[in-house]
Amino acid sequence: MHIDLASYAARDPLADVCIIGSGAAGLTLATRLARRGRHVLLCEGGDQVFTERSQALYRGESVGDPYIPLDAARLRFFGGSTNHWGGMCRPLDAYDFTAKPADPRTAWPIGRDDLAPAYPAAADILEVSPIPPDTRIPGLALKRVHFSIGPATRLKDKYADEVARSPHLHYSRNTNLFGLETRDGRLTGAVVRDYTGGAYRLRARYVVLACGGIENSRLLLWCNRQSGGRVIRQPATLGRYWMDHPHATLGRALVFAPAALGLDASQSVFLAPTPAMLATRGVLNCGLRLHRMSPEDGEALATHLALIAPRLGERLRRQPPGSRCGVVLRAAWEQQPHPESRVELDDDDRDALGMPRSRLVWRKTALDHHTVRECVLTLNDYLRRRDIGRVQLEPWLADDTLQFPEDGELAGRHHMGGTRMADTPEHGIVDRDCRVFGQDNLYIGGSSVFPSSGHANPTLTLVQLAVRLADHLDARLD
Amino acid sequence: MSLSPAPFDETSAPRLTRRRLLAALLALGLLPVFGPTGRSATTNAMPVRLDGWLLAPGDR
Repeated sequence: MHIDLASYAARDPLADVCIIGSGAAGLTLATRLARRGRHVLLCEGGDQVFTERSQALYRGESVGDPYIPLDAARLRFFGGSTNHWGGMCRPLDAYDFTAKPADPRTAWPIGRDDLAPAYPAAADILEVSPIPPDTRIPGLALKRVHFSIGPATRLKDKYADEVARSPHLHYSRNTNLFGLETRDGRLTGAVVRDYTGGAYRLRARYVVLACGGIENSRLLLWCNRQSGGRVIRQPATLGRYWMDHPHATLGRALVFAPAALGLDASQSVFLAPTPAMLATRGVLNCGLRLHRMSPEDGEALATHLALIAPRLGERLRRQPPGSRCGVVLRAAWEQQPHPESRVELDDDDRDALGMPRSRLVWRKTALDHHTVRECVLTLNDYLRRRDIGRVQLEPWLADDTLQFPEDGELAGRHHMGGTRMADTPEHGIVDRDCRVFGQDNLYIGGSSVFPSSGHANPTLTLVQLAVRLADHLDARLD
Repeated sequence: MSLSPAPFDETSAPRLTRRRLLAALLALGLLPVFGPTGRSATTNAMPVRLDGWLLAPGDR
């Protein structure tokens, strides 16, 4: 049910769970707990639809590698960024949870088996279609992988009626977290503000912060500072190890035998390194995306290649044009998790509520360059050895210097890390149950807890974590 | 006649030093090189490229 914040706060009820944020994680938690009869208080900082005054709170400076404007990379109203996501889903690979040879900091405290029980519910929430198993391509160290593509479920539409009608779910919009009160390792209250100057204190047995992969860090940094460091006792990693999936166009390829890569039957083919390749090439995970060009563009590419390589051109002229295809090579890959990539508080710029805005310092590394370069060169090696294609690299990748594109896609708007999951408070902010170290009743929902990202889009995994967290909280409430 | 060994003449008889052996193996691609994080990893050699095209011998 929708509530009036002032009158609700005046009654001073003790909710079972207060959830801050109504995006993919928050709505999953709220609906699942309310269906079990738990008194849920769901606070959304925005409104039912997009409003400029709410979205403006997402503005922030980006001072690291070139990045998408922070208020364009996410949405701040009911349903959160599921209001503009593309619907691509794939679970993380089992080895994404492990310490990869290239950087052992990719390890999670949990494994894929820990999330497996939550998969059916998460797939149902996001309307994920069956995902075929990965397939090996003989002679290639990259395997073919698949995604569920679409229908980009809008959780706002899916859950609006349930949120409005549920007697157990108390939903307050335009309600912005501004402070957390804690005593002896337990949260005793959450302070929220509306846009008219009203401030209210809310109480709950458990509090879940589920505001997205940038805002979770900003809110915790701010609340921790306001509390004199009592919310996060060991804040060394707070806001750090922030990641996105770097996205880039790598080049093009002319493929003489499209069937070898499955391009005869599919418009797009996705490839990723095998576990053996992760070890031998010292790379992180990477989704190499091959998109078929139009026949006209493919033939223009063949003409260009024939001009550059006349002897190959002779052979191409004898080949029926319809038997080959041009592809655009793109990649979305696993960013190396490291502490210098981070979210900070910008004390020189405050939002309308008086809170310092986010300042993002996104930093990619030599390993990020190595990963994507090795993957495309491995594909090139396969095509050349079998004489079934040639690759043309974009200048940024063909050059021997370490560089990344400074415009174009840049990233997937997949905000991960900042409150990473770890075994100990020295290495992260939350434990394997998403509980903040040192606080008995404060939890984090969403992809900010990811210690590493794999190459798969994060929404399915973060909803799996939310389903698992709902079960955990329900059990603790008994 | 001196019993001490003759001074070693590198120009006429190059020794197979450890350094030379490693360099030779590295040039032949038989030795792992250190990846960006210092862990052992092999690296794909960048083929001949022209206007970004990675060409095979005989293409031109």
